[in-house]
Amino acid sequence: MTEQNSAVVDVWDLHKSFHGHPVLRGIDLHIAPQELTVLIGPSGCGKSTFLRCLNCLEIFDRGKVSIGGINLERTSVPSPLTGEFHAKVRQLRLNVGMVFQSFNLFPHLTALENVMKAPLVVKGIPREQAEAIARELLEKVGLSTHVHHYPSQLSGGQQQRAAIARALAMAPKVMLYDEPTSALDPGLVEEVLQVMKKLHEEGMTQIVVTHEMRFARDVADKIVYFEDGQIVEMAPPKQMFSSPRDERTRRFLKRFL
Amino acid sequence: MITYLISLIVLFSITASTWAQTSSPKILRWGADSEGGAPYAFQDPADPGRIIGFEVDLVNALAEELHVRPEFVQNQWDGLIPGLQRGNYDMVVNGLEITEDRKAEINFSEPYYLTYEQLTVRKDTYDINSLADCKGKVVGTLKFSLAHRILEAQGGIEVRSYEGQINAYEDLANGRLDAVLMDYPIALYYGQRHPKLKFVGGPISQMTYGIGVRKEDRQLLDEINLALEKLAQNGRLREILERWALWTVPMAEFLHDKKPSTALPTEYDAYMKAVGMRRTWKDRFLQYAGYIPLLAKGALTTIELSILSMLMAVVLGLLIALMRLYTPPPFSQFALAYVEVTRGTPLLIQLFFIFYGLPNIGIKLAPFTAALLGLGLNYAAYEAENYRAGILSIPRSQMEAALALGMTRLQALRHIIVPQAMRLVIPPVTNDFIALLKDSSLVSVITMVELTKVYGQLASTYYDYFGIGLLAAAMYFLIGLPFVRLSRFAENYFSFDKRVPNMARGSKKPRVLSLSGLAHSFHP
Repeated sequence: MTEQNSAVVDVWDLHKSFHGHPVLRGIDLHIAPQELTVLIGPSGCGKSTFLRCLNCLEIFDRGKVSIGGINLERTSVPSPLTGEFHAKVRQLRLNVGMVFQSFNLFPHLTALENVMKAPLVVKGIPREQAEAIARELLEKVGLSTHVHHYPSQLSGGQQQRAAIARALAMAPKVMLYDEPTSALDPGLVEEVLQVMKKLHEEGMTQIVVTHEMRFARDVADKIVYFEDGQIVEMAPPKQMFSSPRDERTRRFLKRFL
Repeated sequence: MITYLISLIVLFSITASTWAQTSSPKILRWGADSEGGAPYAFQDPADPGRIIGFEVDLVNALAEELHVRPEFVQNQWDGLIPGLQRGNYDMVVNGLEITEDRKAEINFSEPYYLTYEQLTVRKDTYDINSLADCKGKVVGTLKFSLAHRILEAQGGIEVRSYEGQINAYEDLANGRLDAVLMDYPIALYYGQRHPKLKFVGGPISQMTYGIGVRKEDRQLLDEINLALEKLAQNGRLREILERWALWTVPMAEFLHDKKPSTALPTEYDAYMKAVGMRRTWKDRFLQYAGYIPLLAKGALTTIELSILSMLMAVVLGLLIALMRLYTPPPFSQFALAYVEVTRGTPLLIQLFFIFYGLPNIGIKLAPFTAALLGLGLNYAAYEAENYRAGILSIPRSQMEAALALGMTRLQALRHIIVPQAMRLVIPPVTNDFIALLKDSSLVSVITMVELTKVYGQLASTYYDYFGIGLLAAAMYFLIGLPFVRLSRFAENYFSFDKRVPNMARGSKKPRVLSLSGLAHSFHP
C-alpha cells in the first residue's frame, strides 16, 4: 500500500470494548497529509470512541496507532500500561489537536488565555511569543475583537472557534473534531464550518465526526461510514453519496438525502 | 510539606528540664490552674494581670528557702499531673489532695495544708444540718473531688458535679440545689460570702494538700520537705494561712500549734473588699475596660493560632484531596483513611493525644506547636473534603480538554482544575475557618491561655460569667468578621463570570457554573 507510507495517521486493527461490550472491532484507517476525512454513521456506532482513541482519551485495548511518526501499540489483552506508554501518549497528543462537541473552553480564562495556556505550560515558550501566536490564531478564526472575553461572554459559535484556535496553538499535525457543530444553534454552524474549510485550504489534516452532510459532500476528501464498531465503507464523497456500495450505507444516507 | 512539619516539630520541641538538670540560678517552675479561683492561685481582682493566693505566698516562701526563683505555669487542673510528668513544670501546688491513686503516679511532699469538707445551704434551709440530712436531696460539688466521692459513698443523695464552684453556689442560691459540699477554703471564699447562703454542720472528713513532684525528682522532694519543715517551725506557714483566714483546727493539731492567732486576715479582707464592692456604673465601665487588655492578649493567641492552623489545614487538605483523587491505591487509601479517622474522632482527644500522649514515644511538643498541629491536622481532613467536592464538581471534560492539549495530569490540575474549584471551595472553607476560630478554645486543655481561657479566669475571679461573657463573645465575633468579608472579596475575585473586562456583551447575565454535567450553557 503506497498510501500507508505517506500517511500521517495510520490505524491498524484497533479494538476497544467497554465493560466487555465491544465498541470498536478492528478498525484499519490510513489518512494522507492534508486530507479532510469525515466519519459518519448512526449514533453508538463507535465513531466518537474511535476519535477519542486516536489521542488516547480512551486507551484502546488492542491494535496500533501511528500519528506523525509516534507509534502506540498494544498487542495482548490485558497488556500493562507502562510509564513508557504514557510518555508516548503525551508525545502523540502533541501531534493531535482535538475539538469537542461542547467546546470545553476553560471558563476561568479569557479567549486569549485559553489559547495561550497550553503553549505556556506544555511547551514553556515565552509569554510574549505565546500571546503573539494566540492573537494571530484568534484573528484567523475571526475573534480578534473578542480576545479578552471569557467563554461565558461568547456565543456558541465563537466559543467553538476559540476552541479551534486553542487546539491550533500547539501546532498539531492532525486536527480531530468530535461533532463540532452539534451543540450549536443552526445559525451558528456555518461560521465554524467556514473555519474548518479555511484550514483545509491551508493544508491541515483533519478528521471530522459530523452529521453535516452538506459539509461532508462539499469539502471532504474521503467519507468513512461506521456501523457497529466497524468501517463499512470508505469512498470519496461523490461516490459515497451517489452510489454507496453497501446496503447499510444506503439505508443510513437515505435519511439525510 | 512533611519535611516542613518535621522541622516545625523539631524547632518547637522543648526539652523537658528535669529539676536535677537545671543549671543555676535555678528557676523553680510550678503548675496550677488560676481558673480554680480563690484562695489557691488566682487572678487578683484588683489587678487581673497578677496571680495571687495562699499557694502563691507559700511557693514564694518556699522559693526563698530553696534560693530559687519561682515561675508560675498555667495548666488546666485536670491535667496538672500529666503536665508535671511531661515536664511542663517541676511541681504542682494547687490544692492537690494526697490520695493513694495519685501517689502511684507522682510523689507528694509532707502536707502543707489540712482541711475538711464544708456543707453550705440556703439561709432559709433548716432541715439540713449534716451529711446524713442530705439523703434524698440534690447536692452539688466539683467533679473529680473528694467531696464527690464522699457524697457518692453516703448513698441516697442526688449528686450534681460542676466544673466550677461559682456555678454550684449560684445554683444553690437560685434553688436548683439543696446543698453544696466543697473544700473548706472554697466554701469560705465563694459560699459564705454569698448573701443568700450559710454554712451548716461541722467539718466533714479530712483532706491534706501536698506538693506534687515527679517520681524521679527525689532530691527536689527532699529539699521541699526540708523547706516546708522550716516554714512550719518558724511560723511563716501559719502566718500565710492566717492572712488568708485559712488556719483550721486540723492544721493546728497537725503542727501542734495551739497558740492564739497573731496575724490578721488581711488578704481575705482585701479579697472580700475587691469582689464585694458596690459599684457605680462608671466603676463598672472602668472595670470592664480593665479586662480588655487581658482579653485582647488571649484574643491575639486565638487569632495567631487560628490563622496558622487554617493555613496548614488549607495546604495539607489540598494535598490530601489530590492524593485521594489522583494517586493509585496505597496512597489514595491512605488519604481516605486519614480523612475518615481524623474526622471520626474528637478534636479534644486528638489534642490530648498529641500533647500528653506523644511524649511517651519521645515527641514532646510545646503547647503552641501541639495546638497548631492538633487544629491544623484535624481541619486538614475537613478541607480535603471541601477540595474534593470542589474538584469533583468541575466537569470531567475540563480535564480531557487539558490532557488533549498535551498537559500532564498535574499541569491540568494546577492550571485548569484547581483554579476553577477554588471559587466553589471558598464559602465552605470560610465556614470552617469560623468554626476553627471557635474550636481553638479547646486548646486550653493543653495549657494554652487563649480567649476562652482568659474569660474563664476572669469570670471565676469576679463571679461574673455574664458581662465578661458578653465581652469575650463580642471579641470572637469581631475576630471572625474581617475573614467573612475577606472571603466575600475572594469569592468575587475568583468568580470569573463576573469579571467583565469589556462590556461589549454587557447585557448578558452572569453564568453560574453548574455543579454537575456540562459546564457550558449555550447561548440562544
